[in-house]
Amino acid sequence: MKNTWLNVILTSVFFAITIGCQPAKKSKEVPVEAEFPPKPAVESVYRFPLPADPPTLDPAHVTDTVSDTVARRIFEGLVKFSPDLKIVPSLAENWSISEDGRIYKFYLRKGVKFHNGREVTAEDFVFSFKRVLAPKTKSERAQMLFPVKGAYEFFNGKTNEVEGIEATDPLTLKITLKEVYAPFLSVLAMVNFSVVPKEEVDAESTNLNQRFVGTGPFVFESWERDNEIVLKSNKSYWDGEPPLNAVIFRIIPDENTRYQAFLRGELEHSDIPFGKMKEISSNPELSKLVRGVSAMDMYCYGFNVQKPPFNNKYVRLAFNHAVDKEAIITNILEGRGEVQKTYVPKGMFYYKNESAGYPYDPLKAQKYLELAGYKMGAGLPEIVLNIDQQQLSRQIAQFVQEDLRKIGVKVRIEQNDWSTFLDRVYSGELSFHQNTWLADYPDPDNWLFVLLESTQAGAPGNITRFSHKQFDDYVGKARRTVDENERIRLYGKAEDIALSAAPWLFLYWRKNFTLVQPYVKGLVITAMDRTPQLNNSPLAKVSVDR
Amino acid sequence: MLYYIFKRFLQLIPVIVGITLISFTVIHVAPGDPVQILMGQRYDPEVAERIRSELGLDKPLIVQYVIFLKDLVQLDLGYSYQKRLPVRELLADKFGNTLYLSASAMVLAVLVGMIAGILASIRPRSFVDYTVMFLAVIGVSIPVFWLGLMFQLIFGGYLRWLPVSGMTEYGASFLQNLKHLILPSLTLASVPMAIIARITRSSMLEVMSADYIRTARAKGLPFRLIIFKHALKNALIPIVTVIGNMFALLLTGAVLTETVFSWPGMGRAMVDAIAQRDFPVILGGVTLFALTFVTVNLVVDIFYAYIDPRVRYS
Repeated sequence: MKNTWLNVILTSVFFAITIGCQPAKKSKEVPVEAEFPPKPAVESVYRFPLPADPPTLDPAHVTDTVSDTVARRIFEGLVKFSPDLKIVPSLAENWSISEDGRIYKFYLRKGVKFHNGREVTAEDFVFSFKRVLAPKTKSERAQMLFPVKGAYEFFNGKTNEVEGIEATDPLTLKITLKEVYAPFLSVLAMVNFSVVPKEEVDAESTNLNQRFVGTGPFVFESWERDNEIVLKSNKSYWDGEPPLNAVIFRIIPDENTRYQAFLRGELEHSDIPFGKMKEISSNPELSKLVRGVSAMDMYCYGFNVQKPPFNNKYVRLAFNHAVDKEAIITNILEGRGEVQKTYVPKGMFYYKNESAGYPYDPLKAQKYLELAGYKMGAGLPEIVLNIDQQQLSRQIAQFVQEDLRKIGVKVRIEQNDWSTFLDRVYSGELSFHQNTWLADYPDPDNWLFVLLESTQAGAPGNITRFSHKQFDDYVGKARRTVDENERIRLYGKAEDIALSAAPWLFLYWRKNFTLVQPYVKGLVITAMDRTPQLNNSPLAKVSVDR
Repeated sequence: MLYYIFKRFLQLIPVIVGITLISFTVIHVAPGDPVQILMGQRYDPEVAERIRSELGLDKPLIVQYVIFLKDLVQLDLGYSYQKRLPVRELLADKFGNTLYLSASAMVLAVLVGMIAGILASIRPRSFVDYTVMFLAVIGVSIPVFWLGLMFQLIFGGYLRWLPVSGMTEYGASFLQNLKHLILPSLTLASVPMAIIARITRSSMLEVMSADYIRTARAKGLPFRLIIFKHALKNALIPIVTVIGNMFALLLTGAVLTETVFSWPGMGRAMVDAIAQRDFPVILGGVTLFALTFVTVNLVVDIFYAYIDPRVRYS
């Protein structure tokens, strides 16, 4: 008898735990019939995969593409990037720039409302920009506003107002810069400079109180950490109610799981796991669903030009000519890349079309190595190549290792977790390492100035510590020049210097391949997207017609 | 018994201090800077210093540790650097999700594992025994992430019976959401199920050769009564120990299953926190893990007293 009692207790305890531990359900229960492909419980919904849970949805703190993906649908700024990455009006209907290029006047749209129903005014922008700069906010992007007059002083607590930001009337915002800063409009299109309503911000901490009230086409509904984020359509959106009723961001860290979920019809789009390209291209139905877009997203290696042997440009040129980039793209990336030939990616107002980069030529590589005094690698110490922990990075590194071995260079590969990697790169400890960059804004300044100008050495972006007086002059001047043709000329000159100095080992520009369900209409994937997050693709006009 | 439980909880204090001190030292000695991770690849030294000071990371390490302990006494685990949420709130959610998954996996593992073990022990070296033991070896040996992917492919891909990711679905009913539990709990149950089957078998075999079982058989007691009343009761002690340990392990180590099935649990939260150097979440998680292990062990010890009258705590 006692035994039976014990068995009953044991079983009941486990069942009680199982049922009792079912977390409180945060969603409404809507019964759905079983069918395939499974239709979402809410009609006209876009089920959007994310590879990770966004660290934040507060625009002042967004620094990663996953957070950007969700935040961009809720919040809006003065201007935005169009699908072809031009600056187009958003909440500012139009704007004017003074002749000296320092004063910007933004004329706001009338009648735009926050999701809480209140109308947006220029004062809201003044408040939002000040919030980004306020010490208490601890915004990771405060420095991007330092070109504004008085912004730096405000950030340092020396003034209570930002001299250069002013609401001249309820619908006019005037921003005065310290000096001409050509990419300023592009910077303003970043999600960090979106407008937020004062009443939704905690006065003490300046946090957004987890309510995430913006003006965007979608309204924040719920966030179940590491599971899903739900946005509902903004019925009073200034550009017309979006055709989608809701967007459900599903957090799925594993690429194979995302792919399986797409095949089951549980997602509207998905990235393609490595090793699956062949399977997809041999399937006529699936291959029709693939969209490939070259991105302003670089994967290359950097040389620390201050350290031997990479302080010798011939060594850098030798390495560049020794690596067969085409073979990496074909054999490892399954075609998901384009050979890198320039420092600035395609798709901006400036691009050096005629550049051949550093074509694969082992004989030329050997000659450069000889010029550097290391004939067939003799006398060259073992080179340590530092990369992150991803499997793909390792495969590429092994390929490069093998190519360099052919010209007599011995390479050892070291993998680091991302945090350790950044720490070591920023400190200048590493001499040969992975170098990746996705455009913050589509302007050559984001590449040539941020990644190669000497005042940016180290953590601010120039991790190869490249320093060249003439180069600095060109990119500095281009930053302070309004005339686009003159900027093109200056960037051309600067890039010539970089091409001859070769501070990076060119590899490839990423090409994103995304599977999109045939019933999805109006989705445009841009060159500033990563897949599957498609952080920059507008969703306001996307519809699903199942 | 109450005094015993109280004493065991008092022992928690040095355990927590020791574990958090070691974790605190390791995370601060290891390379990697939480502020660099927060800022991404647009680092500005002045802004970074401001953030560092706001987060209290500019204070001496010993001061930071004392602040952590002081807050811990008040059950305040601080704020996550990354998620900007109270760690207590964040971990409570994740722990609940992991508990839900682990408890389901354990129910499955205990039921199937014990039945299989008992069946194998009734007729040693029979076809059933060999089959159970073969499956048990497979269960222990197959990598969890591979098994998870196979389940996804078979039940999600080919048969299309079950969803392959997530814990709940917006707007779905309770029963539909329950479907999300099946594949991850099956995957997670595979290892403990196999271990429980093996332990049950060996423990039962040992008991079945005891004198009192022979006596019971000689008395002519029905076979079912011998197995469930006399044998299983005495074989339970090692099984309960294993169940306790496995349950604690599942609660703290379900990271692979959680990743494959996109389950929002503790394992994933901890791996993310470590990768992002989110110190308050790491320390909060470690404290919670220590607490879980101590509590599960205590529950197992208390259970012994119920199972075996010879065990007494004073």
